[in-house]
Amino acid sequence: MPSSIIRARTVVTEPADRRNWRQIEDGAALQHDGVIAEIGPADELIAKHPGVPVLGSTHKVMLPGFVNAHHHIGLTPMQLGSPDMPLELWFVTRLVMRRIDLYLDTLYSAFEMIASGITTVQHLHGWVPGGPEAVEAGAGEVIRAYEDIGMRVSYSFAVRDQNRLVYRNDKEFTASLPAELRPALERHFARFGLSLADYGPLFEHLRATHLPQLQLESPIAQRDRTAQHVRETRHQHRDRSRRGRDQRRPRHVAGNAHGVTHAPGSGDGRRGHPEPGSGIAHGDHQAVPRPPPSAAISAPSRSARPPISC
Amino acid sequence: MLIDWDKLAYPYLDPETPVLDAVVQREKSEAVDLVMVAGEVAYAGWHFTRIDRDAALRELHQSLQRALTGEEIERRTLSKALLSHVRRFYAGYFDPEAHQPYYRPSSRV
Repeated sequence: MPSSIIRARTVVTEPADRRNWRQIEDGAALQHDGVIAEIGPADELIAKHPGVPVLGSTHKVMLPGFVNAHHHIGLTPMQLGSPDMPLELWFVTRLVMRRIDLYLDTLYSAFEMIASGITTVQHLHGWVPGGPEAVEAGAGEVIRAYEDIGMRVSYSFAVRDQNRLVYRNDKEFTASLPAELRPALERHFARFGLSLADYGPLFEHLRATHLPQLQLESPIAQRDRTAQHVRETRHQHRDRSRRGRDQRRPRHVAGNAHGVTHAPGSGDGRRGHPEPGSGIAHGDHQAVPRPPPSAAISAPSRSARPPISC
Repeated sequence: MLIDWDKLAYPYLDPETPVLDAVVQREKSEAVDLVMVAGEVAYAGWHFTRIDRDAALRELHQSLQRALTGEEIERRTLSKALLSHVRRFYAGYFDPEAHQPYYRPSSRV
């Protein structure tokens, strides 16, 4: 990959503290193979590296690329027919959303992100109907879109195996409804074919496909590291909602015998421990931390993309 | 990423205003001039270097012109039929008077 120098009237390089930052006037950054090698006065850098192409000008402001740390889909629920709602009711109104081409949908929002200066996205994938093969294919389409447009992605796939519509066991809630609604809801639940046991292999398949360089370590070390990361980096939407936080009340204890989600304050979040009142699994993502940035201004090597998890 | 200073500062930006404050509070995406990822320019001059945005959006638009499938129609009907039941399910789920939001949008006495 060629080197280049990018210059600007102001280069914002890094935070100095909570309220201040560092910047260089008439500065520039030299990148080699996607890594920032030097930052300094533009004239000095250009004189020191003759022949290196110069981008930008004294009419630009340079900042590190932005990171979107929480992203789900391209076309929004509003665009797809669902009104904005409190989280718990939104699970219901979003059922109107039609199926969409995942590659094109991902590109749609990637265009908006890049055009806003976002270079890295944490894509938190919520739903793909079907079994492990369908989910893996869907994940592949999302990741392929980011690869094609040239954006960095850290990919996660949500763990869901219970309480998929309300904070209550799926079968119990279905049984509480009028008889004429039950068959359609049962068919809806049946469209999602992943069992908890499928998530481990899915995780490994995605990593083997999209991050083959990580296969250099032993399968045992890899498994242990995966388990450790899964324990340490769980992300739960329900902590953002009053109803979600309150769901540990014993209101529906009997309906959660196969619970797996990690409730606040319940320890280390080990999976497979039934937890009374555990919530809807929306946003219960697995994620692997990415390596630290190599320089104050983000121009990371594409060959060292952040880890992808499922 | 590079932001066009001339757009950011137009029609006027007083030198008293720090550049980063102006970026955070005044910048529009139209002022984003160049975006580089991993050493490669992904976006410059309002064009994406690898993918034709207009063609991709046309394809997305076309793909959504098909009629809804039976499964999509069933889900759509189900969504509307379920809403009142789910509202009832959460009725009284917590006491709003006791609710302390994480964020308060304005000061309260």
